[in-house]
Amino acid sequence: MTWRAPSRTDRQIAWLWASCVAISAALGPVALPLSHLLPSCAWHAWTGLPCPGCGTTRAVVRLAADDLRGALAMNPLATAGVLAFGVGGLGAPAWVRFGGAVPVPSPGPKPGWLVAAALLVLSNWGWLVANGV
Amino acid sequence: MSEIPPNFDPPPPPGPPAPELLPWEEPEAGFGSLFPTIGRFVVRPIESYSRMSLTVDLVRPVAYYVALALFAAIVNQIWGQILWEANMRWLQSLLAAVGQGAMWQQFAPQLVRPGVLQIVLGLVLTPLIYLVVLFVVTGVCHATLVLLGGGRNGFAASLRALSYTGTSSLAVVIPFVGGLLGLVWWLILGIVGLAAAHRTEGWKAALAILLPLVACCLCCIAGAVAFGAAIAQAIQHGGSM
Repeated sequence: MTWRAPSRTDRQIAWLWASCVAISAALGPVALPLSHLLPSCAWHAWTGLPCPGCGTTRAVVRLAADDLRGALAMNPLATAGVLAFGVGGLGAPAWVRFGGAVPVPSPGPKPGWLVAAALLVLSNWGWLVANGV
Repeated sequence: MSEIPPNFDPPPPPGPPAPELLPWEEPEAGFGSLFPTIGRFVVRPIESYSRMSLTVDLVRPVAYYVALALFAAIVNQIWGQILWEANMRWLQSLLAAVGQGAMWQQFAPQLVRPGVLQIVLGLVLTPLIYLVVLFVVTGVCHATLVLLGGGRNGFAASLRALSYTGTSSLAVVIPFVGGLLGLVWWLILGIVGLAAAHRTEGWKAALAILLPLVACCLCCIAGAVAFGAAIAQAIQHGGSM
């Protein structure tokens, strides 16, 4: 991976990211009370086992209630993703504004990273199954 | 006969013509250029993606996506008003077909025809929600594409490509099944768009779109299968009446 100076497009993406975080935060009080209206997971209903995305809504509801431990118990990977989305979006505009470097992934396939990502998803799924989410 | 000046340099031969941009991405393009662009993505999506600029202001493709999200919201509200009773009957029979009749009893009292305030709120909020979904989906698909070695033109290229998948929102003009058709159309446009934006192989673009869906949303796939089965059952039931 290499790094480069931010461009105008990078600044636009950073502001778009921040806007998405702001929209999500603003809609949270409206959307979260309605989350119980969402249909339950069809995969879970069929197999009795959670799908890899099960618990995400409950994790977000708990995060919104400042219950990090409860959110992690519902779906650790989704919780980490939501936190990365939020923290990254809040910091991105300032980062590029002050000239912070932007990562450029090296070209070509990354089998090691691909295996790591697959293991991450599978171990998260295993956690959900083991904890009966 | 005219004389040639001593230091005359012949004009350079004309280079290849500049590639034609999408109407929406041309400099000084107005709102009216939205419609020919939509038409091109409907009729010739592969050619349209090959003309998509990777340097034009990012606001253009994102605005295209938001405009079509707003269109979808308006059409959905119109269908919701016209087909309210039919929708409710259809939902009830669908839930009964998948053995979730109790869910109907639970939620039916909360399902009321939207008033003016709800409609206005829906029209304001829907494009904003679509924007967040676009950003998150692009992030996940682009990360997968990078892992597969296909994201050479960066996140912005993926964002541009997936912004034009907003064309699939037009499917909502078909009542009842427009959403499902729109999803299939979105998948196709997404694969074509990512492949064109990153000049990468189609299979990598297809995996970038489909892998996150499979990995994170088995429930969505199971739901889609159940939905299809329920429709088939409802049609069969209706046909036997």
